[in-house]
Amino acid sequence: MSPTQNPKVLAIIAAVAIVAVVAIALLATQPGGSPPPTTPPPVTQPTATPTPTPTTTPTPTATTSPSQPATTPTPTTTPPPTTTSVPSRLSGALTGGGATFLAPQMFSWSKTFYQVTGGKIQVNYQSIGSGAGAAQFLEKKLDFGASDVPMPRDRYEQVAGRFVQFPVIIGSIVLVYNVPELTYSKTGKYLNLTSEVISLIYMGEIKQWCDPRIKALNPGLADKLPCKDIVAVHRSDGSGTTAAFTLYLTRAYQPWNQTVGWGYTVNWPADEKAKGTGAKGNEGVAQAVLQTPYSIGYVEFAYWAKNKDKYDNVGGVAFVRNDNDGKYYFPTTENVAIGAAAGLERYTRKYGAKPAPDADWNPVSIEFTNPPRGYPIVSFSYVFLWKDYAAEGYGDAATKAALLKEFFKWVLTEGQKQENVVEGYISLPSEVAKIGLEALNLVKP
Amino acid sequence: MLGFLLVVLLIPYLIAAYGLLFVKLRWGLRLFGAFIVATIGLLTAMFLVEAYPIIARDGVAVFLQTRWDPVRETYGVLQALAGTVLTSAVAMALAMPMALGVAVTINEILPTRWRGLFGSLVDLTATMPTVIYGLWGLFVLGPTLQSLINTLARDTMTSPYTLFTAGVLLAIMITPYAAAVIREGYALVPKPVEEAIYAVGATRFEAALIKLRYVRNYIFGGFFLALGRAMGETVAVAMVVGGNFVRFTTNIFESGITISSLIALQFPNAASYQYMVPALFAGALLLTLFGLAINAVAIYIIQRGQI
Repeated sequence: MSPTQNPKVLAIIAAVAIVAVVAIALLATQPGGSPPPTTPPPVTQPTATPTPTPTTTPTPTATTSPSQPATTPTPTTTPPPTTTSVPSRLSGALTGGGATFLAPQMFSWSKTFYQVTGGKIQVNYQSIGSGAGAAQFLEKKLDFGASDVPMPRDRYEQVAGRFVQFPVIIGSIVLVYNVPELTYSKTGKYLNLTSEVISLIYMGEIKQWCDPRIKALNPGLADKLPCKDIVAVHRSDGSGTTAAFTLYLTRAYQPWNQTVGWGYTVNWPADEKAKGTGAKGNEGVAQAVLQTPYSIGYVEFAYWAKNKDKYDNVGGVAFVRNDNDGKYYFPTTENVAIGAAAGLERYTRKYGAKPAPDADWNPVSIEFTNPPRGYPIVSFSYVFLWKDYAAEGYGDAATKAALLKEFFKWVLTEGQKQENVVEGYISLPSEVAKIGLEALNLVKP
Repeated sequence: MLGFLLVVLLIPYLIAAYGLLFVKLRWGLRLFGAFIVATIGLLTAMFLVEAYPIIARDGVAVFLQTRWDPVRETYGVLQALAGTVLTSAVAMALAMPMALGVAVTINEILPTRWRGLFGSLVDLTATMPTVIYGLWGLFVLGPTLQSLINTLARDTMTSPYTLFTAGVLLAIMITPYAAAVIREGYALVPKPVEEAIYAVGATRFEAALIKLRYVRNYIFGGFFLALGRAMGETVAVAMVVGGNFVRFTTNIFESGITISSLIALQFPNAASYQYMVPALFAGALLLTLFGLAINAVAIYIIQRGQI
């Protein structure tokens, strides 16, 4: 056997040896890479499996079409900024991740910033979900984290004072409905809703569109409201959108707080008591509302803004009453920005100072929710940065910190200009952007 | 963790490969077999370890509860198991006749030169990414089924996205799997047997029935392969199942959830909660045990059939 088949056997031995060497190399690097051996499994596995779900599915339906108009102008608008801003001597790459809602805007910023810096600074963003963004940031797997909600309190307490968090962009949540009798294209009117009525619909207490409590808010449409069961559509995946929406209801309507509460996923009473149904992702809810007569759903502003005409043909978008000043607001970028500014004002009045970037932001997000004026359902996308990258054990910390400061400084100034904001997102009022710029000063170079 | 996996998985693999190549073929193969069993055992053990916090807190209640309320850190996965069973049942009930039909059509009815082409086309549909099926379900199948069912019986299906939608979508997705196995078996019916069937004066239909009976082991195989796919399918189901993880329902025309879609939908933000990750692993454990149980039954049935 040996003389004739020697080359073959040798080849097999070589292959086995190579595999063994690779294995040993992996074994040797592994213990050094992550010190706590018990924590990685829950996070390493999830990232491998569920990541495709949020990233790949939204893209075909909703994000490609909007980002086209948003990014195609970039080449035409970029030449002026190239000459004016960021004479960068730095170069390198950053990796961040988190909220899926922020992803289209982050990709656009990253792309423009790459061009502005002449291809020297590359920012990679992984759209892995808010919870995973915060978790992986805390495990130091990401250079920055992004989330639709501030750092949860229990986690904040573990790393208090060591990191900063600040908003980078505003989103808003709108209520869209599909009621063939009430289409905007036919009636020329949109529904009026209040936090109470929205809560009661999602709690399964208001079951039909002709409910007197809906009629009372819409005298102009009262005779047109059909006696059909309401299908309350909500997110089936855990999401920052749900967190912001339920936080609003929690703040604005007491009974909601007692029965449901708020979070990435909540237990929707409408599912049990009425005809509630779930859909995956903003695009799923948007689609479900378009497809299902007599339904109502909540989606990010962007998903409605891009398909406004479609909704006008099946129903429309609701005016939401701000319970604090009693006015009905239409979801426009101006009304949302008014809300954000008013929320900041209220926080400043209540606590005597602007929110500090290294403080717990949960009270801040609560003050921003249901603000005194403006469209009441406002949500921020937050970014987390470490204060001292060297002390947290990052390699090449000085460059990393400098790159992050450079990028976020650009995001909070140039990035907030209309031409750099993707359609459907709302740029920060300047006083809110200022908080972020102050936060960057806390990051140790 | 990675190092541990390498030690546990790679080294036995190398030993088995070495044994197979250089020592004794039989012993190497046996080692490989043992190694696969050990992998399944380890996987189950890992689910158990990961799910331990919630099992320690709630006991078996996590498998028997139907509430999924992260705000109050209450988790139960029974409704998801019910959803998995219901969608798989609908899918199998619709898919098996279709798969048998496809197998017989390709082998009996189509002209010989078309058979290869149609066979490959059916196989091709099996390899399509599931997210494409999901999109199709979201935009086409769901609304169509809703209007169809509501024409037959008023207001049965209030939402286009229900357990039934998921079941029908799954049926379409798994048919090619079952069909491929059955088709291969059907083509292997020996010529003398076929001639004997026609010799006793069987019609073409009767001949097909007898041949199907002859290849019933392939049908069983196709059935369980397709069932495994139906129970495990994630992305497409998550898109059309309606994502209702609050209500325990046995009505297939209501929206629901399956275990694998529950995991896919809830994992991205699960790390923000204290017990959600363990609860999802408990779901995974339940699905694994359920799958093992079904396979055990399958093996029993097949063995009894052969004796």
